[in-house]
Amino acid sequence: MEHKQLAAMARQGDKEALVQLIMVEQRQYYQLAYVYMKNQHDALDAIQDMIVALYENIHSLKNAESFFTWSKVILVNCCKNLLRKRKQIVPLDNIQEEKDSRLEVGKQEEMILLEGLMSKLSNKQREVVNLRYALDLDYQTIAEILKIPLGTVKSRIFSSLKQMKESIGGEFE
Amino acid sequence: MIEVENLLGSLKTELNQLNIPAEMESRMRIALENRSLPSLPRRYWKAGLAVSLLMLLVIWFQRDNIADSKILTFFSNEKSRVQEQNVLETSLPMAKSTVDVQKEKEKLAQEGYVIKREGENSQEHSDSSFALADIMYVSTLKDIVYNSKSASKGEVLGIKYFVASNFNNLAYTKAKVLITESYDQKYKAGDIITIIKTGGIITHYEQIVKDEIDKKFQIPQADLEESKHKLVVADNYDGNLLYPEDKIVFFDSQNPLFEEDGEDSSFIIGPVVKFSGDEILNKVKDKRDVPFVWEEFYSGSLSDLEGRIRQTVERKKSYSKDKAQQAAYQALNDTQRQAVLALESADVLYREKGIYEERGIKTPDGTIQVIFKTSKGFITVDLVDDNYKVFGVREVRS
Repeated sequence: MEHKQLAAMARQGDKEALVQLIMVEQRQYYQLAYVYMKNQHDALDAIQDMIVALYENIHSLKNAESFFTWSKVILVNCCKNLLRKRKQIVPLDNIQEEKDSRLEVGKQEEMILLEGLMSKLSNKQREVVNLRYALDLDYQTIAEILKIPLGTVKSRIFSSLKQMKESIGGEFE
Repeated sequence: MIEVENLLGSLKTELNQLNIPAEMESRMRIALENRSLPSLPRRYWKAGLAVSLLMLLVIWFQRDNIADSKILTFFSNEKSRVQEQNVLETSLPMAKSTVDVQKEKEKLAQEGYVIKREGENSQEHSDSSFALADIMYVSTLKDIVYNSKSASKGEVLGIKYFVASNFNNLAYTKAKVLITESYDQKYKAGDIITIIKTGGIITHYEQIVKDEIDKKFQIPQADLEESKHKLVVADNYDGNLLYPEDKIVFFDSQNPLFEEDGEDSSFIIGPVVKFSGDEILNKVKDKRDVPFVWEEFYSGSLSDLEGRIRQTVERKKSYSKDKAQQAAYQALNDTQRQAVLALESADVLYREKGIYEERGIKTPDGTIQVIFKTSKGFITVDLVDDNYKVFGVREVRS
């Protein structure tokens, strides 16, 4: 069934259609939640919150084509709400917590270095860097998901890279 | 050298190794169990709230009209005046200069300048339909520093509004500014210069005349008379008017556009950054109404911004407009050279992000655009690299 049809059914209150829509891009949803929550348990909690919020608000979705962007905006908000509730400082540190043991020695060193560099960035900078480089989202999508202007995304990424390069002694042009 | 991009690439690799938990689908189903769609009132509470707010706004504006018949009630808003003064009192002390500011202000007042700030400052919101990012070329800090005559810091002593009826019929603010620092030493601390910026407060009548509304529509004489007593903000494209006592960082350029009283004046290019202490006061209410690159100017602290300006001013020293003009002229053929009216009058513009030419061609970052006026129109030469290498030549007939 086409996404549009599923979205239309979901708007009518069809729960199964809504779940199927999410499952179409399940990897992207899970990875997005994981980037924020850093572990499987919390990522799934955020996704649960998201599906409820989607169900309760899907009547306000005017354009079925924008379902995926809209739902990801809600997912990001759910993640941030959960983090806030748990009194964590929006902790977009890099995403390697559960898998360090699987990495080669060289990779581990790289990840430690990366972690150090990322820790020097502001929360907002880390957020866009993760969305851009971990999830491979384009600037426009990041802008839509975070509801910030495209230029802000670009400038945050630009300043983050600049800062990281300067931290490891490179020049930024 | 370790490349940051390569390091960041490992973020993606790590994420791709994640297995999607099998229970994701079932967890979603469980979450939706026993859920039902919210009732209609709950679903439309936002709409209800919006209507209520709208009604309150209408009542509020109506109240102003009844009370005063002026839209710009902020001019008489004592509260905001006091708040603004409080902000001012906490700002940095002026750089030492031998100028007697009070005396200068008194002189300006005699010349018809407004020297005292009244009412709200700096945050008039221009019509939100002006999405400036859509209608104007957006310049980066580097563009603005490279293309300006000077980058300076100062305090506005007095202002006057006028309509440039001999040029483009737009409203402008003419301001006398006491220079406290010139980042490129084009001015001296203590100099008082005249700057001109788009946007001003004029009578509604002036606006009607300048926009020729009276010629297009039959306006009753009584309404015209009334409009002479009503003030409006006009042509305030960046929502940022200048006021006396504003402390500002600004970039000015030659003022070839129009002569105002034959006085030597500079034209503001790019944003005017207002500050108090180390804080930048240009808070954007709706970022989408402002060219996004201006966030380069408005975010962070004044000292950050000044650091970046000083750095860019240093870099500008290796940039030569004369060399660019010469290199561009060399790129012209004999016929084109003969058509050029005056080599030295060619405009030279730096474009950090390149520019989109006709047919969708984008020039590389750091393009220098040299525009020669010719008898038939313009010839534009795009140069790239530090060596002023020619990227392309275009003729535009007017």
